[in-house]
Amino acid sequence: MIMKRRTILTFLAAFLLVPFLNAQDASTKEIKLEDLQVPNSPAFILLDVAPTAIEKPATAKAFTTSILNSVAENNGIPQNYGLEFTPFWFIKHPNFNAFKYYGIHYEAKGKSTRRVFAGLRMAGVSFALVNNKESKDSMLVKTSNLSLGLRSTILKVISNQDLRDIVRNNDSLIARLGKATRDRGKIDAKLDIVKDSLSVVNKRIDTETDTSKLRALIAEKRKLVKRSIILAAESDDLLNNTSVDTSIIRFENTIKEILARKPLFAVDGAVALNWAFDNSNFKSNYFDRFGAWLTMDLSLPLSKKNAAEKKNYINLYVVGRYLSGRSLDETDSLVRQDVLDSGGKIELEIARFSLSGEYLYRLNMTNSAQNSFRASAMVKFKIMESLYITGAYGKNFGDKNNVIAQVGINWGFGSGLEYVVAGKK
Amino acid sequence: MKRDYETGIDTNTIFLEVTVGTPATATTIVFLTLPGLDPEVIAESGNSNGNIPETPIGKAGKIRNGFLRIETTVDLGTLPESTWPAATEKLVVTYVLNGGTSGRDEFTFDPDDRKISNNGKIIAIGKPIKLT
Repeated sequence: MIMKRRTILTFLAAFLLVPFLNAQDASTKEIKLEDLQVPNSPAFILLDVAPTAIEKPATAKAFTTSILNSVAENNGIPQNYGLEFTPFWFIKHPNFNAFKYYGIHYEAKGKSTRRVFAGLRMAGVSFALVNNKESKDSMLVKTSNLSLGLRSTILKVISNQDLRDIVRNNDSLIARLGKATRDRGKIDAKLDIVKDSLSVVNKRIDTETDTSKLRALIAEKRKLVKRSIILAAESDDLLNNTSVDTSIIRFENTIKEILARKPLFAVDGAVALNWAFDNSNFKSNYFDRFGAWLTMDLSLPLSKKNAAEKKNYINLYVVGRYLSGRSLDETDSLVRQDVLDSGGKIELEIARFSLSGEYLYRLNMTNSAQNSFRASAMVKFKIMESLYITGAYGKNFGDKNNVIAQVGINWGFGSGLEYVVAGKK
Repeated sequence: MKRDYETGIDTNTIFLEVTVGTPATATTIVFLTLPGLDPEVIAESGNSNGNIPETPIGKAGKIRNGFLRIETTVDLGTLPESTWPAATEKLVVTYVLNGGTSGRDEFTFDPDDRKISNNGKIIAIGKPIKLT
């Protein structure tokens, strides 16, 4: 009954607010807090044009194959090609372990500590080759762009509770795996003996001349082969049973859930740069754009209960983006700018309700007349998963028509960095 | 692939060290099977994610002609599934035997020592070593 009432309310709200949302579509192109977030693929973001094909090779072999295929398909350097990969997975790490992956320095008896810079190992690289045609001095110029980006979690601090939960669940997982290893290893150890005996029998068969002894050896061999087949099948069954063991899966999922929890504090960063070559001429190469992004995220739970049940937070986001080079504004692709956009958001999140204040400042180092800021306060109510009613009031960029007064519905994403599209009055 | 290690026949102590390099969860158990006897667990990695520090496994004269089976289980279930092929490809297990007439012998697993579960989540690495 309650669900039904909620659904009716939701549709009613959507119906009433659609005119407001449509009116906001006409809002001018302005930076939003989410635009400043560290992008997953900075090389593509910097180009502002996505390559037609983006390869995400999972292994070093796939990486090589991907590049070779693209070169073969294009009879040379690919025209529109994007590549995203995490170098960590392409290299062997003889001394790496699960705790390093979790970002924990493991010590027995509850003395484990955090490795706050562990995320740096998982830095992602993006690379793009994109050709486009641009108008320069009334001439149509074919430009080849080569863009390279790097993205990483620079610092991540998890809560004590999460640290303890990871260690506890990992210990339990290891105990289960230990039992499975013991059971399987015992069978494999017996199999080793059978195989060794088999090789001894085979050698004796090769040299034995006495017919009756040879017959006995062949019978012995048959017995050993049969035994080895049974033991190997038993070992394989145990391995496959381990892979679907529900208690093992439960611990794995719990660890993944803890790793996905909001950290107390995280800093993510990215850099990207782009070279352009006009008319496929190497001599015409020039530095086109450079971009750097930084996101800081502090999330303090207000409850001291079990971390998995925490729903009340004070969140503080600080974001910054520096862009240098040819403007991304398509109206004039020759204008070069140095722009620093920075901003932040403080948010109080209590169950379904959240109250936040947001500030964004654009510092245009090339043209200070374009310096401007935006400040707004926002309330948000979660109707159901990924569906929110939002309202905002504040000052928008510029000196004219800069009042923000807006009510709307936001659905689809619940990342915590939702923004309000400015509606001007 | 079976490996041989010459222990000698004296009272010298043989040592074993196992290092597992993986971001996944791992565990290692070492079995010793002496002639005519059942396999016996002689070392376990416990909570050390598959690693066994240098550990004495017995006197040369006593364990000679025995079989070592070093069984490692690697569980990729805590990693994103998209990374399983890379984690499988880049898994490293290093074994070091020391103290016998073969001296210090360091080696890794061979392709036929590796088994993977049907769903690709669990990797079993079993290294048989004959002590001669």
